[in-house]
Amino acid sequence: MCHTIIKNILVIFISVIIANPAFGEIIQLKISDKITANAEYYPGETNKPYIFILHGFMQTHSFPTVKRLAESLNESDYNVLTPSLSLGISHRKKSLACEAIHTHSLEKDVYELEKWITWLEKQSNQPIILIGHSAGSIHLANYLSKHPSNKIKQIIFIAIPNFNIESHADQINQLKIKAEELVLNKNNSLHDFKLAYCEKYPTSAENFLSYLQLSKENIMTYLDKITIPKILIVGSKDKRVDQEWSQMLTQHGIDVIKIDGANHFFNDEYEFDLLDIIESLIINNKATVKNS
Amino acid sequence: MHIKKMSIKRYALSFILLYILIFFLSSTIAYLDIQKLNDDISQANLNSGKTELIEAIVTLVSKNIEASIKFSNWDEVRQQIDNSEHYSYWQTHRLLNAGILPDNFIEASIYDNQGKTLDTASTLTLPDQVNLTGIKSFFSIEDNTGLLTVMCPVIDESKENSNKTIGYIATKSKILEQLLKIKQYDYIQVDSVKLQFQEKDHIEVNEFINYFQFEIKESSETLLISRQIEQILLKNTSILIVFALIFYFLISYFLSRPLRQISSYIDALNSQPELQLHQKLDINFHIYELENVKHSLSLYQKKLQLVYTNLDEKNHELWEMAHHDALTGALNRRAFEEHWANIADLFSKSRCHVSLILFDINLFKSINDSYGHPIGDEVLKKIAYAIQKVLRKGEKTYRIGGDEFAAILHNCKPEDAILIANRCQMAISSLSFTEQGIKEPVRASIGVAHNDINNPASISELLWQADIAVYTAKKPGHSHVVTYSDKIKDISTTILSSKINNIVFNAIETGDDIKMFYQPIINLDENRVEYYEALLRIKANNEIIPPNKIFQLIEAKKLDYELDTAIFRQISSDLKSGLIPPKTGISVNVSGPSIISENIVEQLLTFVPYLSHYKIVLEITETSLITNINHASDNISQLKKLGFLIALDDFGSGYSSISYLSSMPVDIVKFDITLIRQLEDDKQFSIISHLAKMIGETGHLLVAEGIETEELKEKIKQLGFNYAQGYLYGKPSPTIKY
Repeated sequence: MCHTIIKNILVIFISVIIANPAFGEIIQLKISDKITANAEYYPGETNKPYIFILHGFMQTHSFPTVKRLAESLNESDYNVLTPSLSLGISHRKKSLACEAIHTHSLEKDVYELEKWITWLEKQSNQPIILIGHSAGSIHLANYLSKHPSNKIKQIIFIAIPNFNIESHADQINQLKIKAEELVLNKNNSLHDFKLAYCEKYPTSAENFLSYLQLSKENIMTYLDKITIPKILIVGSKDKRVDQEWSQMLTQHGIDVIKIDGANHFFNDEYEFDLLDIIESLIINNKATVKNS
Repeated sequence: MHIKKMSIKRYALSFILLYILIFFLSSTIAYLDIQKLNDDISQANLNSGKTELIEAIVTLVSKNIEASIKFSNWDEVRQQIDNSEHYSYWQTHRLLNAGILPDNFIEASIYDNQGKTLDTASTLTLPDQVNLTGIKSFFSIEDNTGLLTVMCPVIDESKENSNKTIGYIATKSKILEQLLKIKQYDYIQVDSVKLQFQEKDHIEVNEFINYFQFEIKESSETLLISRQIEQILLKNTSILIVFALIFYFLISYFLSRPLRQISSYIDALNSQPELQLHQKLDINFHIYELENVKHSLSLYQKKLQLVYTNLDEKNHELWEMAHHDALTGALNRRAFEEHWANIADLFSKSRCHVSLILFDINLFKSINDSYGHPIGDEVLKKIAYAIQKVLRKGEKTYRIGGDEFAAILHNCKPEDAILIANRCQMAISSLSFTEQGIKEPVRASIGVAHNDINNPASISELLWQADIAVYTAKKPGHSHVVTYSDKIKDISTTILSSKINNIVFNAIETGDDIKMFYQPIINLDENRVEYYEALLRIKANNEIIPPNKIFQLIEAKKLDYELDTAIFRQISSDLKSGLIPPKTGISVNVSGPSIISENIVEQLLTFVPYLSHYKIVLEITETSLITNINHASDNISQLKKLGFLIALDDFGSGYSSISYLSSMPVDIVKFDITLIRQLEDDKQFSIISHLAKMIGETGHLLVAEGIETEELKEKIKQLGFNYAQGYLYGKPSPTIKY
């Protein structure tokens, strides 16, 4: 209790006193003829690791958890790149609603990741650390399992979820069957699917099926293929991620760090806990389980 | 300036009405001013309302543009521009449900960089093609619904293609509801805002205001003030009317009522000044000044009453004085005339007996002259008292002239009236005046006249009848009491002839119509005209009035002196004109009343200048001279001293007493024609010759008149007459031949 009060006082103090937030620059990267994706790049000291932070499902680099983390790390002189997946929309600035037309697919997302990581790798010879928040963790795991790199020295997952494929197995299976039929029939029209937290998700069957690859089983397969240090940070109050799943991941070489009281987005004072842990992980390149 | 006279009540009413009128006028002006102020405020509010609606429209346009720009920046718009494969789905299912555009946006559309809609099967009312040369917002009205269409470019966000237009969007929104919510309206009545047209395609933003109709809120302050003022005016009007009525009542009660009472009182005083009115004004007035007026009026009335009382007394005294003879105590002529007029009026139509008795004291003038006026006054008093004593109860004695009395007897039979007249005569005759030194008896001539009860109008004739009766009674040989009868009526002809009266009176007064005729008197010894006798003629309208009628009238009216004076003036004029031949003379008849007049000498002085050239003889009749000898002596003596000769006229017609003659201061004795004519009788001739001889021997010159024959001429010459007069020598003529 006393500890919590002190932490709250510190949050307020720091928020007031440290009024010099870092600003990144917008980096535009042409993904295809029509699509240009944006990222925010926070240059730090060139001798420090380059950190790549990916936002959650259909979010942008402006998502608070991502943006606060990027700015904080940059304040510690780390070079940070926070791309926004275009999701088929040039210069996408806002998170994409479930009801919006989804023309993106897992493959396209990974392709963009490749483009951004390649861009980052070209910036320096310093090690790269990947940090994914929520679904961004799965995207990074998927990517890294397929595109290992010497420069990437560490991957940190923050609240790694799954796409509820298993939890809504029957429903998803029916949709999957329907989608497979559509694909079989080369029907590329829009249909309302259900994906992750979206009850209505208009997209093509092919695109829908691409995300169904992110089952728990596949995720674990991706993780198993990653040989660099893999750390998972979870909040004890995260309702989007079941704790069993997190615990299950420890069996796949992942160090799990749980922050008591934190939710899926590590709001409020947990933001600092998250930052402290990540900085510590980067510096030590070694994770320890923190139990409060 | 003439101001119509009105009562104070009307004035008060008029002033109050005028005041109310002025108040109403000023109130109306104030009310109209308020109305004008309201109109001005309404107009200002209307302008303000219009301004605030314009502001609302501008804000609305700005907001909708802002919303449209936000829409144009939406990721999914760019997604559709980049890939319009699912545009129809997106537009149908996503566009308006995404919450990007506000609820009042009913349509939105996306266009490519050529301005062409992405919706190939458009069902929208938005245009399919954007006019790239004039992208701007505009209003339209569809089904009486105001709509705003906003068009914006969609800008490429690539750094390398900065500001490049990659497409366009258009939005259409309902504006009316939003317009009314967009701000707080201070002037416009929100629920009154309506559009004027059903359909209108394209309305420029700056013109859209003209398509609205709206009503202005009534300014609560103005409305409150206006209603307050109206209520004040209404209240003031009510108060004014109530106060006007109270004021009118107060004026009526405190001012008008007292003034009307005072006015009525004064009017009553004016119409009946002699009445005691002050008690009627015995009311308390509540105004000090009016109380003073009342008090003053009361005092004035009392003084007036006193004045009236004094005046009544004085009037009574005056009436007494005016109707009574101060000397005798009898009623005077004025009272007689009034009483007679009443009697005449009263009995003119009745069959009652009325008698009038006139008394004339004989030779009263002589008494006055002989014994003095105090004695004459005593005579009058005694006679008046004597007459009154005889008269019955209720009958009055009137002194109607110097020596004339009258008595009116009504309900008195003629015989009783005559009896009373005779008693009066007897009472007068029995009066003794020895104490006053009067030796001769004092008598009165009494005339009595009665009305004819069968002819009531005859009462009007009693006056002149009594006059004639008394005139007759004065004649020698008549009774002292004469009752009028037809026998003496002839006398009245002259006296009462108004025509003769007028001519004679006019001649006396003016001298006109008097013409003197001259008849020569011959000196028998020298056979020449010794002098001419001046004889009166009055000629009017070519008619000569007979001398006997003139003298009857003169004698009856006692105008002898006045006539003589007029004659003197005419003769004097003739003398002056040279009518009378030189070395002759004239004889002038002087009446009895004239010769005893105090002023006769003065009157005759007019002839004195002619005495040196003319013999002027004053002829005085025997009768008048004898009866007035005592009073005439002084005048005659004075006249004789002045050079006049005195002739005794008509000797032999009356007393013809030698003893009288001896005492008379006359120079000439003129034998009356009756004596001369008697010369033809031998017996009479002898008497007359002795008489003539005797008179001649006393130194008197003798004149014989009426000589018409030579025979008679010779006789008188024998008798020693000095002068002769008659037709034998010449008739009276207005001209004289030399």
